[in-house]
Amino acid sequence: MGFAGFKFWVCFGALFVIYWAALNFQSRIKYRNLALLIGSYLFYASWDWRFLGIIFTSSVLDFLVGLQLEREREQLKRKLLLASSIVLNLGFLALFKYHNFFIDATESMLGLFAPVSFSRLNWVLPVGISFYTFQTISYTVDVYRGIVKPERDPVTFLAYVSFFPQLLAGPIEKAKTLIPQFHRIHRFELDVMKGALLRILWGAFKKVVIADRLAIFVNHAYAQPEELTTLTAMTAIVFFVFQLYCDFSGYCDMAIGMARLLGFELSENFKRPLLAGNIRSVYQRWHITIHKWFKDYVYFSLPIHKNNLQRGLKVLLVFALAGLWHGSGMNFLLWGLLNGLLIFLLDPVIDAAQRSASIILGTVSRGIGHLAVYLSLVFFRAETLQEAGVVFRSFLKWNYSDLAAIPEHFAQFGLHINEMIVAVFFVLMVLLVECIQEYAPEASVRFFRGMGLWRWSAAMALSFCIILFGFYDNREGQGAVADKLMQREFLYEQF
Amino acid sequence: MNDFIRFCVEVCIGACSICILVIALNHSGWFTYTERNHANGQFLYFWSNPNFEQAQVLFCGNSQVYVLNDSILEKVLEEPVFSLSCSSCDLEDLLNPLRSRIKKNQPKIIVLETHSLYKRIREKGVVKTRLPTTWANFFDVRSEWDQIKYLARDVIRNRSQIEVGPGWLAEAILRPQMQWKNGFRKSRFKPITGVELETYKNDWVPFPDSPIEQEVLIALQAFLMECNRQEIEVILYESPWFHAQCSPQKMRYRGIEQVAFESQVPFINMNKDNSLVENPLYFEATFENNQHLTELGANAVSQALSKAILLKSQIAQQRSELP
Repeated sequence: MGFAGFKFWVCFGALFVIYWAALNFQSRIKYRNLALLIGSYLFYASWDWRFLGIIFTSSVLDFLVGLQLEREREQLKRKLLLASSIVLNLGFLALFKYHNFFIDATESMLGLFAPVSFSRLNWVLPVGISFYTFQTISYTVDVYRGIVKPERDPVTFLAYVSFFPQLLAGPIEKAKTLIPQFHRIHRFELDVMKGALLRILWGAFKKVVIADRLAIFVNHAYAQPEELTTLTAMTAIVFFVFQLYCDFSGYCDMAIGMARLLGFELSENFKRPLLAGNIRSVYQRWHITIHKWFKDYVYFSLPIHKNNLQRGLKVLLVFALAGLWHGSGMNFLLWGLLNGLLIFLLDPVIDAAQRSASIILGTVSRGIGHLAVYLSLVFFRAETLQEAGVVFRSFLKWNYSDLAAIPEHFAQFGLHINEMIVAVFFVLMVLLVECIQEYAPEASVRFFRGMGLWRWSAAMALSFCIILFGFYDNREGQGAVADKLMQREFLYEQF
Repeated sequence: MNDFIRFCVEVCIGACSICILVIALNHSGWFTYTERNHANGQFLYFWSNPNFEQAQVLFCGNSQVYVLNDSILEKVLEEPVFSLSCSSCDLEDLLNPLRSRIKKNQPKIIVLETHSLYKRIREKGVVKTRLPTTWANFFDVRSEWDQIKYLARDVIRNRSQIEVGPGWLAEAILRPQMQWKNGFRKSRFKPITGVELETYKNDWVPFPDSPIEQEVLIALQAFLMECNRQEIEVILYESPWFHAQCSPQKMRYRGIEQVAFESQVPFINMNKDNSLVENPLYFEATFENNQHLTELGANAVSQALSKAILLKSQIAQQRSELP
């Protein structure tokens, strides 16, 4: 039961009404948090009830470690407590997410001496495990560092770890920002609620209308990469950038909007990354909370660098880990390393070009930076390094008749050329909105504070777009072919 | 608390507005206009059209018919023509308006396309937008989306048509009378090209051969006798399909040919014309067991059909007898 499901919204509607009508009062704050915990656990169990055991064990462990850290004065024991929490949390992650990756790596290494083969584990990856594991680790580290006081109420702590709007794919919230919100009652502010609703619609629009539509083309392209030509490969790469962006930022918009409807404020996870000036800035604006997590808990934990080379190595290490966080494959590792290298090598050139007086030079260098990031996403999307190689090799398969054959190509998997033209139109619309937010912020302030008719019209327009242009199951006729290529879940749920 | 109630009320008003608008648009035919499957509404519109009364050659049938090129038909036949046809309609849909038209003003020729010789399943009490009427009905659906589909079934089902055929939506909104001056409209179907041709070669499941229901043949024969009594010429014709689209239609043609023979009416089977059925550009690229003519195909068929009508009918003969 994901955010894109009808059942979810019926349940959320019921919770919303009960929450504000009966639970959000000072005298009932414990019951409110208990209701949020039960709701979150039910939501999580709707995937597989067995996943509850993992999240519950991980949460209880960190809750106890937190309390113990406060009591313990001896530094060595505190370090041991922290290490045991981190090892156990990462142990869960390693067991469920990286087991086959480690087996592959061990086999490759031992294979240098003699051929060996180990059996693989075919365990299902619990949804959202990477997110809540990092959230609980941040809690114990912060308690250890004395940044936050340990939470004494187990219900509040469990609700913090499993808070359903951000359970599946973030934003990864630090204890100091989220836990205090569980301790106070929230005010129902009409304008904030309306803004939250609009944000949910905007997120759903990005997911259902744009990302799901582009996903059909991208999924088809990566399912048969050997059939790609220069044009289709380039289209698949560009489409994937927008699919990923609209899918994940759409999810975050919905998560933030939903939390806002319950009175909670979550951190922003995206800040118009497609308009970033250089590669470093792309990652300061894209999946902000995970990059901040790596910065706070990995980069700053490493020894202070004395020269640029050491700094570069630190950046590379952080990006390699960030790559591996996304998935257990050499392709993710390479994707992370590549981006680290790009920041280290290409960013100084881009920065220098942008400092120059030439607008053309600045724009071109910015374009090159974005292009490099987009190309690196081939490793992110491909299942293996070999598959990524096939996609890159298809750049050499230029054929002049490709352009004329585009409609035919779309028809192959049940899409009509107009459906893609509509996708491009909506992508441009998203970019236009982001440009306004970036370069004319006063206009967006006016939109949210000005006449309500504009917001009402926007909500209606978004709702209609979701109904009329959203991609749903059970397409009929030629469109039925596309059903098999649909991306029903959010992309980041699988991490 | 007041703000909370106000918010809930505003959300409910918004949701209701959306539902009402979607259902209203749905009922006004924005989303199903392309299918023209509301035969009664379509034929009512024809009745208000003066060209319908004046037409001397009536082309009747379903979606195979209205894509024909009326300019070519009129040029060759030298008679005003009208298409009494709409998507998916069957013989039963056609007979009532045809009889009313004959009663009011007798046409010279009725040209009946034989893909309409079937009996459409008429679900009792089913309206275009089905609202669940009982709790059991409400919960007894495959998925939660089905409940939404009950509210705006056609919107969801045909949503891609909004994009695939934007012209159709514009037509549905604007209802251009000119285009419908005599019931025909230009085909918007895309021809079969490389990829679809491959599908035909590899894993195409051909349209099966099945006999026409006896009930339909009896109704047809009765109508042909009525026309014969009133000295109205009737010509049966079968619109062509791409040669690989269906398996040999032996049982189907046997029934039609028998009725045509017994009633002494010509049957023009255009599927026997190789120049028509072998050209993939004449036919719609379809993944379904249904196929329509493209604009190019419609022109070629209109030309061939009008010439065949001239040959088989008495129009040319009557004209040569004129002083």
